[in-house]
Amino acid sequence: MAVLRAEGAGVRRGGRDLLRDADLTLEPGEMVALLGPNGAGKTTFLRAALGLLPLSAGTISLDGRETGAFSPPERARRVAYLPQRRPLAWPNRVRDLVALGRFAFGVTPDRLRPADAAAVERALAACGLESLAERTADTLSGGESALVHCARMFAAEAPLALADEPAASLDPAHQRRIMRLLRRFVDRGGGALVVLHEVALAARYADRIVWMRGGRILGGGPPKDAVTPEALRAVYDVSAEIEWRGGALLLTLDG
Amino acid sequence: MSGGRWNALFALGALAALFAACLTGPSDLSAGQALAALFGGGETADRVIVGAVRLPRALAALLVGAALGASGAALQGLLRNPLAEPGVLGVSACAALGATFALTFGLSAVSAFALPLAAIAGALAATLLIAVAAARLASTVTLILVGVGLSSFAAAVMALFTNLAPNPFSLSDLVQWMLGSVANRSAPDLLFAAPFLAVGLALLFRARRGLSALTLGEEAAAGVGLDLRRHRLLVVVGAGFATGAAVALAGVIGFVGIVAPHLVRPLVGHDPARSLLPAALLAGLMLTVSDLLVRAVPTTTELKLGVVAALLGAPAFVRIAMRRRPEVA
Repeated sequence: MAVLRAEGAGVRRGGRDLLRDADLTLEPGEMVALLGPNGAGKTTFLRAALGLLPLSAGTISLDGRETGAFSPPERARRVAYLPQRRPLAWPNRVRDLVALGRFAFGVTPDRLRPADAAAVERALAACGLESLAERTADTLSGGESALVHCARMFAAEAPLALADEPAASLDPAHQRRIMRLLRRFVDRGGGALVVLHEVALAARYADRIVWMRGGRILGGGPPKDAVTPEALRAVYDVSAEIEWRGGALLLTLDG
Repeated sequence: MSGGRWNALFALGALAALFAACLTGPSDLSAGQALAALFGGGETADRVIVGAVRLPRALAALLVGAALGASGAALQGLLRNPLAEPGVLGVSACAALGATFALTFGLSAVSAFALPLAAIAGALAATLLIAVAAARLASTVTLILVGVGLSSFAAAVMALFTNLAPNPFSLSDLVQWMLGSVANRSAPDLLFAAPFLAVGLALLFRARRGLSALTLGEEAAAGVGLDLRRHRLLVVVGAGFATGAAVALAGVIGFVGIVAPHLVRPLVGHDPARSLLPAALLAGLMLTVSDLLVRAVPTTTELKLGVVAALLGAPAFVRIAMRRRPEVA
């Protein structure tokens, strides 16, 4: 088991509160979608949860121990992270990039132990990248590149995953593909906290939606309870009509 | 061809260049005579020529190249930029400043070790400054700017030294030294620089794995378990020691720290960790061969290694800069 728990967490940088009084729990077997306008503090929350940003208040713990107290490799073996910006410095082979997901296990892409090599192959296969494994990163499309970064995250085979806008600027088919990959990770016992901007995508795939705005967590719940015209007005300042068709959400914005 | 084979090829090339350097010079030695002299046999005169003159000079070129190649490859990995080299962090310039200080104030006339010691002190002072900045700053771009500022300041102080040089002789000493050369290097010079070089290279090789992780960007590298600040410190201090030793031995020799890693990168799948060793070997080979060429060119005044390296390296730098792809998003 790996449980990530934030209690009253706050982050203060440069005299501004980027995150205030945040409570959130992430457990294996659930996908939580973190939604809110730009600047709501979603990325700050993820970074603080990983111990990459110091907290000014409250605690964020992993199995009862503060995440900041873990050594970076210890933490990385428990929580995989897909950041929002994913710049690649060199045109590496796809297989080598995915293998960097095993960094916390003390290996290098050219010298993987059998267990690490097997994890890399599983991640490549899960993301349907076997045929691209020998390609170099500079020859990939945006969609292919997003899949490679997902595979890199899955290669760690950590029980928890935090993904910051994994489906941003992708076509609808690739968005759904990425979300299905995350869904499968969760259905196999992983826990995922996913920052998204598409409410409909979150409603379709997540077990729980958490709304954020102005550095605070406003509340949330299962998609059918959480996505209401009132919530959308409170979070995004938009008037919207909502219609459910089975598990799918139809959202019409007014004005 | 795998990375290991390239390493073997460059190492063999470097050995061959060292041997060729033992054969080359005003007094003709056959391969047999040189070999005998290398292993302590042959005539006394041959042993002096090979052991005290030609081999130390060639070894100096090899070690300086290896230090600059490894530092360049590591800094490129750290700063995620193919144009990074020891010069960009101001380490080379501050080492040169230390050496010119020793020359200007006559310390080098007092002891033969004053100049290399001052060069290494300059490199370490710059490294310390950069390391403090590296520990505090969140961004490597700012780190490069600090390095540029440091370089400019060191250059300004060196200009001041040449400006205030008391007589033509000390001016000539300064200028000669600043051009960069491995002429007349002896075994004690090598032994003096060797510990600093060894510490620097050891630190850089310890940082290898982290350089691979940085391919993903700093944020994702931290995510996969790299301690960014500790790693940055390791690379900066390692490059500081290695560069300080190189400048102490040969003065400022530019561009080899950019060109060698650039040539090596495609051979090893663009992995910065795998570039380190071949970049060091290739840069050593390149400088050893360049020094052979410098000695072979019949000019009345001997060409300086630093001048030749810059003449060949600067156009290569421009070419690399112009053909640089935007970052893969």
